[in-house]
Amino acid sequence: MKLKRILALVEKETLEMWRDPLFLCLALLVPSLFMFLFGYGLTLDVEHLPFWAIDYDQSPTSRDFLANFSYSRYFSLKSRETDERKALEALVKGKIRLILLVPPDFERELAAGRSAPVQALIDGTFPYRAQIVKNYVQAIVGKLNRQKLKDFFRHKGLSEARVEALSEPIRLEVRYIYNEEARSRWSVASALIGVILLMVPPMLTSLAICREKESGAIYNIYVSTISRAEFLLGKALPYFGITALNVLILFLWATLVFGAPFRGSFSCYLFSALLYSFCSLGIGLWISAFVRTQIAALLLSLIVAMIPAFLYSGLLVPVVCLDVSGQVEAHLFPAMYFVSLLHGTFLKGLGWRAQAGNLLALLIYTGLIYLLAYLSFHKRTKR
Amino acid sequence: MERVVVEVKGLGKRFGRQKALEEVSLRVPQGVLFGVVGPDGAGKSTLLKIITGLLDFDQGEVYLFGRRRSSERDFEEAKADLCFMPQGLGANLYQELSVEENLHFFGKLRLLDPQALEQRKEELLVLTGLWPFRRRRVKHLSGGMKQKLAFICSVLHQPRLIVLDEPTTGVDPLSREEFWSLLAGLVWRLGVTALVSTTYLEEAERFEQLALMHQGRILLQGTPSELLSQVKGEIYWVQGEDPLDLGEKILNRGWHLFPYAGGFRVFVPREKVKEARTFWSQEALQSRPIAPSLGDLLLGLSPPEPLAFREKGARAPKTLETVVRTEDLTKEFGSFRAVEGVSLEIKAGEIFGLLGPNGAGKTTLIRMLCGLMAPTRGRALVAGYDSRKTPRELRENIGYLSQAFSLYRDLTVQENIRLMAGIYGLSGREARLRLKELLKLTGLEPFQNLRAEDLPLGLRQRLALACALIHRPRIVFLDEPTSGMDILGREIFWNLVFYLSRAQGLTCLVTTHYLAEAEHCDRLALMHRGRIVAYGRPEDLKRELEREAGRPYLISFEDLHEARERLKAERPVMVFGRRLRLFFPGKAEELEAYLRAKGLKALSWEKGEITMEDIFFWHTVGKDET
Repeated sequence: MKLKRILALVEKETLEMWRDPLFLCLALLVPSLFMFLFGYGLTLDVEHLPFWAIDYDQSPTSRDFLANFSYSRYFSLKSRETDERKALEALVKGKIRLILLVPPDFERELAAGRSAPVQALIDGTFPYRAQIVKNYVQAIVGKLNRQKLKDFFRHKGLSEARVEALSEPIRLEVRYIYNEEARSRWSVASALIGVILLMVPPMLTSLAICREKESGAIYNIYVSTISRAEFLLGKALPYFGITALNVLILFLWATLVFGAPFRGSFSCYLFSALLYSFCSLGIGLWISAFVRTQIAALLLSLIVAMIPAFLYSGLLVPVVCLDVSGQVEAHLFPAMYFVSLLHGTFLKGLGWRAQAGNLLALLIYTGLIYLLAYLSFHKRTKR
Repeated sequence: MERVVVEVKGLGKRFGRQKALEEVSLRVPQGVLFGVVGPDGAGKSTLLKIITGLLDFDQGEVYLFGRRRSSERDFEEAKADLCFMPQGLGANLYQELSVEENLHFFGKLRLLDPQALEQRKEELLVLTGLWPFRRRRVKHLSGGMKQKLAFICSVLHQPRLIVLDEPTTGVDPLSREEFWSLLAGLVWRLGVTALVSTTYLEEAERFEQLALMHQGRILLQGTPSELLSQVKGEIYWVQGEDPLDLGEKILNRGWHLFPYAGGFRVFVPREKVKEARTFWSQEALQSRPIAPSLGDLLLGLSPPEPLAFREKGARAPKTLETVVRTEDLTKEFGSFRAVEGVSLEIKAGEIFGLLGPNGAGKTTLIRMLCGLMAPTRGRALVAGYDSRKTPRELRENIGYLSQAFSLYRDLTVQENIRLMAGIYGLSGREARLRLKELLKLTGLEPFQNLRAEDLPLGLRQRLALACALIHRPRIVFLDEPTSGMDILGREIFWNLVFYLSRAQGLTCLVTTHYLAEAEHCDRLALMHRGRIVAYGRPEDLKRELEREAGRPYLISFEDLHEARERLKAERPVMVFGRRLRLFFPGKAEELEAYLRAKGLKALSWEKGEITMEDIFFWHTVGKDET
């Protein structure tokens, strides 16, 4: 190992990167762009669902009933015009997700002590969303029904304790811990750091090598006395610097822009994020051993990094909820360990000791990737 | 005893099913400027990469610096004494870095100590004239400068073996000359060995020894004169009343021919020389013998393809109509002038050559003539139409064979031609007729159902020509149609162009960076940095040069370096292997007297032929502003 040669490579690479605006943009802006796009785009909370209220009764009771929806944070009222045709049209066009229909005599039926029907028409295009809408509607109607029951008991002259016990024999108390308002944005924003740090760095290193393969400059390396390890390190280090910068930038995005709390050990976050970035750069080095063009490098980096990053990192679905094959795959990629580490340091307030397992996994993983990159890179090619 | 730096025995290399090298054996002695000459795809790069340990091989033995090497590690040990410069102008340079920064990187990569690096950097920058440009980024350098920089970066660590892959392809003659003298200087002074590939056969004389490669094999190796003595025939220039008829008669005898200086250049196999002489006098032809060249070695290998596609009796009427006329045609890209003040006239049925290195402005000029690009200044009349005012009518009268391969690879020969017929709106009957005609003309009939991608380069270019001719244009622009072709492919292509011009009156404008090909044109223009520096018939240009500068002599001296230094102040000196090429207006005795007066003694000398490269060199030297 000759430090001089590594430094020569680092210096040259840094100069080149600095003078190539497109590449610098890829290295510095794209991670933030991803954070912006996915951070806002990947929110799984269903809120402010547009709905249409058709009130044929037009009574105080029916208005009261509908107000429960329009004032909820889950729904937002788009129109209360009593025109079913127009409402259906809006539903078809996707302008609203739900039509609530209150038939005439709603108030009279209730007053007479009879059960009054209400209809909810839900856009079922996406079953997952339709289910959520249905659940919200049911929850609101359920709450109203319990209210009615309580009013009835109170009317009968029962004590407040009795009313509670009769109307809700089992009372469910939910408290979200780590993410008190169960905001998916918090968990997504922190996990996204892991996803982006797996997607961008391999592009940087694989492009940096394949650019030289395309131009022919790689022959300077092949024909020189530089060793394979020196070359790989020399290529990884400049981009490690850029990625380290991104580790901080992305941290600021998650905490300042998306409001995710950071409760754990910052040194633990920094160390693990840097280790993970280094590992990620190594994946790019490894990829470049198999491709010769920049476009192939870009595509392969995207495929290799994107799929595990999104599916098997725990960003969208917790790893334990995957089926067996999914879990096996998740363990094969580094994103899972790091995302769990991110959730731990951001939301759970964990530190070094609790993260030892994940850190060890990342360390082993990094070593393995660099070993593979080293073994696959040759200064004499087959083709 | 002669020391051998590189020795290769029975080398074989395959890429998948394709054989790149077969049974290649080669010996490169120490201190020799050794050439590997051959067309694209002959296996030159593969051979050089294997020797430098950049590419694995399948069979054979490689000895480098006296040791057998087979594993990656074996070659690794030799790399301190090696360099390799890949194909492509400045391909191994870092475009975003400055001249100096590139040198620094190469020096540090080779672990030169900072003082030695600074010293050598300065020396080489001054030697190559790059010193004033040391802070300029590589991407803003001219082609010739890039090539020089790439070269000095490669040899900065003073390797014992310098390996260069096509260093002169596409480089202008002046820079090429500088490069050869730079390289020869290193070989002389330091006693290092250089192994250099080239696709230009006419560069063979630059080497002390060379190997001629063809289709993955080495056909011959030795000194240039040894190789030339192997030519199995004699070369004649002949001229007759009816060139088409004469050409056909010669081809029917199985002799190779090229259009040349108003007649033909004919390769007559040695055993037929008598027959040929009788033939010349029987037909009352003008004829004279001319010197063979390395290309003739390849011509001797196989008979020419019989051009049975010639229609009997078809002759274009003689006219003096001007088909292309340009006045002060100029194209600027920002502050860069790609084409500057070009005024040309091309007559109907003429084969007009546009010659120049990469970046001289040939393609830009053609694009303006085709109406694909608007000139910044000046105007162009093509087939009577102004390219700016009536681009549509213009396009109906021109055909264009572009430099990049523009056919559909997945379509067959027939389908490609039919597609073009459709694009130009030929009716069904007309299209069928034209298809048959063009297949016959280009000799592609047996291949009509093959896909374009499966055709070898020569046939592919013939197909491209057929496609360019589909709508019976009056003028056809051929942009580097023979680039990368071997000599046999070129022969067919040029004869085809010749036939089209003489039998059908088609005007052909051909660009090429193979200067030797200029001799196949009726008239030509030499382009350099956007300007036309010479213009006329090739034979006239040669005569003009002879009048002005004399004839070239190849002279060897005891101390070449010294001789060059003394001579170059008075007249341009070119470096040819271990000899100097000097133009001298006078007889041989006068030359000797001249040399004596300079205090030099020639060991031996030989008269040379004026080449197109000489003409280009003379017209560009001194006209270069940097």
